[in-house]
Amino acid sequence: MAQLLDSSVGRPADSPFAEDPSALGSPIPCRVLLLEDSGIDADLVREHLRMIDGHDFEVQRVETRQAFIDAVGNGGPFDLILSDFDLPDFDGMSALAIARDRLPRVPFIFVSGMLGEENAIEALKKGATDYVVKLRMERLQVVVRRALVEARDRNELADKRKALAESEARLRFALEAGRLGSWELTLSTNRLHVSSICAANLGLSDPAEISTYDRLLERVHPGDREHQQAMVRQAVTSGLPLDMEYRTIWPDGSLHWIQVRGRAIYDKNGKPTGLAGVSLNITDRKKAEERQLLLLEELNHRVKNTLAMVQSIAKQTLRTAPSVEDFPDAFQSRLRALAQAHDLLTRRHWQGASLSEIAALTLEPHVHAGRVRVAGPPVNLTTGVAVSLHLAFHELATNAAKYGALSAENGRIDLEWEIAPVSIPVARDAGSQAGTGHASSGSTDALVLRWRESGGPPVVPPTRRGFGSRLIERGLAHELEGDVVLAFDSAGVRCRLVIPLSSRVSPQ
Amino acid sequence: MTDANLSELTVLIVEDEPLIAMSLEDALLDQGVTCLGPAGSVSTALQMIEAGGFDIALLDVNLRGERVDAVADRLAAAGIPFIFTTGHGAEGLPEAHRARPVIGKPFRDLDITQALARHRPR
Repeated sequence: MAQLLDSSVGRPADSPFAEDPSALGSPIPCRVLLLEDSGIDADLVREHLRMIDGHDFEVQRVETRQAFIDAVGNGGPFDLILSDFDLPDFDGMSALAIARDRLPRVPFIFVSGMLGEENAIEALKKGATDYVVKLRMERLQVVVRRALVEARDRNELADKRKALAESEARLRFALEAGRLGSWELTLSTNRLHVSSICAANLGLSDPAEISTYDRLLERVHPGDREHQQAMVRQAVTSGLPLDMEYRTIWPDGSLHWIQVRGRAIYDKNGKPTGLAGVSLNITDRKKAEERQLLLLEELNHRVKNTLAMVQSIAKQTLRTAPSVEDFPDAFQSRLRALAQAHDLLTRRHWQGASLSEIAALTLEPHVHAGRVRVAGPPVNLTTGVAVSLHLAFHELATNAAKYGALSAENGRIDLEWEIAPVSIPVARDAGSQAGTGHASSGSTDALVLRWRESGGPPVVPPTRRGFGSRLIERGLAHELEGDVVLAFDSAGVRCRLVIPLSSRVSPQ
Repeated sequence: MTDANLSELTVLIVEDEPLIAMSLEDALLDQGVTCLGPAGSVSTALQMIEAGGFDIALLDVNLRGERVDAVADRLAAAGIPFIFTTGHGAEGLPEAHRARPVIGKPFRDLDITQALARHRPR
């Protein structure tokens, strides 16, 4: 301000003007609002403006209060306001007040016959940019140039500030939309500045609760603290980006996963001064990863188990095949039966299957041909029981097609089941999970299933037990903790299964 | 061919998958081993341990979705050796019995007979 008041000294022609863009090329258009009631004085002003290099002045002159208000109200746009101090129906200070209110960015310079020091000080206090007395009109050039340059700088700065504020707002919006917390650590003080999202990621409502690194560490799961510290140290010393995950226990006791990414900050000597970055609550992702891992382990278990079953089928098929030539067909047909069971169970999301579905898997074609009758109440089977029963039906049906009822034109099979009370051996009682209330009296409800072939060629009992017989008599009996009778009656093969009801075999 | 190391041996088979149990029985019967079981559930296995009459056990780590920790504990308490059979990795074993021998599924008959010969009580 003192410098502005010392207006008797002209500015050196260089300094700020050297950077004046007008020096580089075409003249800068400059719209001037001139409040001046005297035509001669107005011409004098125009004269002096013309002498300023690099600018193309377009002057709009107004003489009255109303015209000034209209011009300012219309907004121009003006780059400069020049105003007389004393006007017939108006005064300069009022004009200044109006201009500051409506066009605060536009420089306002008094050009006056006489002003007096008191008025000058008052004018500058009220926001005038400068003043020129008409007796020394040659100063107008210097004052106008300086005012324009300063206004341009001021406007540029204001634009930059506005852009910065907008950019910050956008960044904040993006961080909030992405649920990204931001943080900054000062190494010399261990002070930590975190955003509210960063605090929320740790289950805290107030960022001040983690105002230091040590207080943050208290929030880190004890098992991850050492790793957390080591990673931070490494990021500071190596300069490599920080990228880590750690667990945190919220004040409500719940466990959450946090991912942190950041980078060290260095001073001009290359000395690390801090660390800054973002944090993200990745608990949902971690839970999904854990589920995926469990699924993979379960898949691995199932595949291994299935391979072991295939191996077992191969070995036992080989042992019981009448000749090596018989092996491939018998083996492949059993593999296909196993695959069919897996298909059905996959369709049922491995939640088990119903007994009629399992029966249909093997017998459906024969049912359609009128050769097989399947009847029984709805019964639910767990996956293991479903696979075993399916393999048993497959063996029975294969045998029937080769040697039994389905090998003769008029042969037929009746597959029926019912839920009926049966007395069961005491030894087996404790092993089964039959919860029917009859257990104490030595009887329980059981699934009683009968396979009866008729109309086929006379049955000759096999001289040695094959794979199917063994699977049904030994495997199935053990698996289902039930009683199995497989009889090669000459009238037709009969099979009777008595399986105590349990969580694995239950009525619907 | 009978392995001398398996003579007069009785093995309890704890396995819920009948096909695999049958295959184990075949392999062991071929070697002159006497088989008990198969026990397909934890409760059945515990009953059969109670009844006794075997020298060593083959123990599937998961029976119908149930872990066999209780079975392993009971065998260990009774001083009866046992060998895990599993489709899982070693991490699926009961915590207290990680040091026990393990045979991964699917296995060769030789893996079973050799392990039984090595770990049977003297």
